[in-house]
Amino acid sequence: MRGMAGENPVLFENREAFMKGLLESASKLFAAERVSFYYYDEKNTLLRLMMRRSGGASFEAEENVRLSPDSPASEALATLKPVSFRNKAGHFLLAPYRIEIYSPLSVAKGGGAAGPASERREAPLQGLIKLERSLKKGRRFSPAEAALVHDYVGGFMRSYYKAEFVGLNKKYAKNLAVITELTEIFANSLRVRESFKHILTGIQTYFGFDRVRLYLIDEKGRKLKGELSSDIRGQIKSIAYEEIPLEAGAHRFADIVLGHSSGVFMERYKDCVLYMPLVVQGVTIGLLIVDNLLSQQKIEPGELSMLKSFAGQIGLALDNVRLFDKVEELSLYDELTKLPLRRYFNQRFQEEFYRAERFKQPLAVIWADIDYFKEVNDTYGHQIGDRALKEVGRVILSNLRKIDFPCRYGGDEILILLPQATGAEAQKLAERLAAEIREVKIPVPFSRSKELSVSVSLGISTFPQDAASIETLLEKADDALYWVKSHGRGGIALAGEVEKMKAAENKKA
Amino acid sequence: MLIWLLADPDTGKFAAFKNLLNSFSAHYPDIKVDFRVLTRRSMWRSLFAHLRDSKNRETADIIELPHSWTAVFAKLGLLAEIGGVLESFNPARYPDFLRKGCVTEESDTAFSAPWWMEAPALFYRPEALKKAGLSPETDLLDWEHFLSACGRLAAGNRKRGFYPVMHGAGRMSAAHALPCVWNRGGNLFSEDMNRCALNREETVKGLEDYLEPALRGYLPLFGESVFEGGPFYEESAAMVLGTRTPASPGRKSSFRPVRLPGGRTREQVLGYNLAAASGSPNLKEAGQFLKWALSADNSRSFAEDFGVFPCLNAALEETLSEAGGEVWRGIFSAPSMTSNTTVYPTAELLLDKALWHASLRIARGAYAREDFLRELVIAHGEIDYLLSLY
Repeated sequence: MRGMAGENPVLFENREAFMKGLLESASKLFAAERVSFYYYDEKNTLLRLMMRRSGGASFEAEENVRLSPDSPASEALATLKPVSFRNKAGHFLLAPYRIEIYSPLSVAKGGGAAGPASERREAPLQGLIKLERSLKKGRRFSPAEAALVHDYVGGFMRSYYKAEFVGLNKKYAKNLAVITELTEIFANSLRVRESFKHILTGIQTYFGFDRVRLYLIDEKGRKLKGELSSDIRGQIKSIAYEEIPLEAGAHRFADIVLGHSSGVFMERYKDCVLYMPLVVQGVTIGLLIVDNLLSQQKIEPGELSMLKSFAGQIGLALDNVRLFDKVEELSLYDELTKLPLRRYFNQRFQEEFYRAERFKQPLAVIWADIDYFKEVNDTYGHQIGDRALKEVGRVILSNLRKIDFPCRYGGDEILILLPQATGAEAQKLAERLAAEIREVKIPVPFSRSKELSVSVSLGISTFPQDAASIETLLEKADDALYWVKSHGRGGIALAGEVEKMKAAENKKA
Repeated sequence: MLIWLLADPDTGKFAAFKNLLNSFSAHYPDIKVDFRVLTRRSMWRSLFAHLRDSKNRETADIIELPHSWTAVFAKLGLLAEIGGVLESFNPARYPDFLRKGCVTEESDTAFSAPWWMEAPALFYRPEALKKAGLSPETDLLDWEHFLSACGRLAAGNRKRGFYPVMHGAGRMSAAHALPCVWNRGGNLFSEDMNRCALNREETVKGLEDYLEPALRGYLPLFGESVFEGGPFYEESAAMVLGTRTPASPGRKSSFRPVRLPGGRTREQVLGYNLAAASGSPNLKEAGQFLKWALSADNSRSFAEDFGVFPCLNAALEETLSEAGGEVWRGIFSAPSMTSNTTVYPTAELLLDKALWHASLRIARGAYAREDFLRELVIAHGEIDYLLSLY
């Protein structure tokens, strides 16, 4: 039996498998009816049962014992030597163990290099293995047996140390992988439309919290607005309905962002919640909250420090996403009229045209042009011309339905796409626009009249009546506009009618 | 197929389960079944670990859980609809009070099936009480009487290692504290379940009542006897707070049950259910096992094997009539279960944590009321916050 310790399997899948293996083999080798694995919780001075083998099965059980100083267990733990005793319940043998565990320092703090200088001493793993034999069936544990058990347990625990060390190294390698992959996710978030989702998914994939919530401060800096939340299974939903005024005392989140947190509730939730203000160049842009409140599972210190080290990157990624959106918005919209630009319009036009074709719905296009715009610019200057354009843009935007789509097509030309609208409906809108634009008075302080009125000419074409393709539809609207402009301006013409009028004119000629 | 069972202070439960498993395997030799026993805390952690990383963290095909965990794990998508796994499941065969423990807050769809139950009572040794001039009928009526009785028992027996009362569950827990809370008219939640009621005076007083026997030294905490092959109730205690009749193996118990002291209108019943995991690749086999384990005969013999109660109406009725004694019949005539809501298990965990810390401090002789109250305030805030989230 001397060589038994050497036969121990070195690696186990996890702690549970290790304990099970030890209890099973010890029970068999030393003919013990019951074998229990205890861990000594130094902080609470409790001996805590981790697993027991009895009746041919291993199982977890709850047993917490506070040892008196003169008890056999206290003696075993203090001397690290086996102790056997007998009482009315049976024969007992206590084999203590104690192993020191060193782990690589946390990656976030240590920066990566392994080696003695970067190792941290963990709390020692100590406790004892209790073997029992009943008074009826069993015999007492002899000193020789006690020594053998002690050797055996010692050998097993050394194997456990190796397994634990391998486990820690695996954890360390995993942390490095997490850092690499999350850094990539955050860096790639710049141009990805679904960036917020990617960031939350990345966090959940590697850490797995009960919930992750993301709040961002609005542009005016008055509110903390909910963006997204991810649950334990990684399902993401919008929390846009959550809006928190950024005022001291309004909400704990506001206090954290404003730096007014008293720390009382932070202390209260510190084990299960992490609030991470997202700061970019000294400015807080939002708040990321991860929590294990429902499960009450402690967020490990390693996870905390790693997440904290990511906070800067996450903040930067989110800020980049917002900046990118802003740039994209600026490049899609005309700053003067606030109308979308031609590039954006072309994309939408195609989509709407296909939709109209597919669902056999009507689609109208209005092509508008400010009358005598060149003269306005030449006479009053570009500033007044710009003002006129701005006003026309305002009138158009205020009269459209949500599904309509206008665009500054170039110069003073404006196109309006009207999905699901017939020619007659488009004409009604055109009349309303023309009337309202005529009412607009643009102040011109240096002119005799002190103000300027403008008018617009409008040409309308409709699908499917006037054209079967995008190009022809635009062409027809342009034709109709040209007809109006060549017949006195300030009017409205439908492509279908222009055709008829042209035919009549040709006939006359 | 893998089954996860909840650990029990009584190893008799595993012997009973092995019997059940052996008979199942004899009838279904092709179905390989393994089982693992986890403490309540470990089970909770393992189920959440699986939810976090279902690809790499295993879960069982069948899970035993306290009835009050059904709602939260069903909501998190861990549990399969029981009707889909066990076609013959009929909630009407169970007492009304058990049905709420099988569903979620939002629907009547069952996600777990009642398996066995237990009810806390006070067990006393008639001769010990008689020797101290105490009568169970008059001296254990309410908590004050009970504490006085403990005092008299302690004064009358100075033997080292003797305690007037011991805790059968091994430690102070939120689940076992509830009858004391109810005695005072308190509860963990408001009637509508929308607010935590942990800071209500009645609730706090009830919890303090629960700690009082330990504080006065009448009830041992973290005692060594359990480590040394005990506890030897017959020799070291006059009374036991627990759910099973205390007995030494192979010996007839000298303890008799009586209702827990207090003027409650309801008696606590703790239910344990079986559920199938929604992601199990062995749902068919799981259904066969559930059918077997939950059948009238099997569930009854399983419960009887370790001194608890079966859940099916007919089996419960038979057990109660056989158990003799009006005590159990009285308890089961006004049964009350802890709530089965999304937040309840977490609330119980938080209260457990506060009671655990209080127990440690009592054991060290360092208990301070303010510390306990502060922990309750913290738990209260956290539970209210959770209620606003889930």
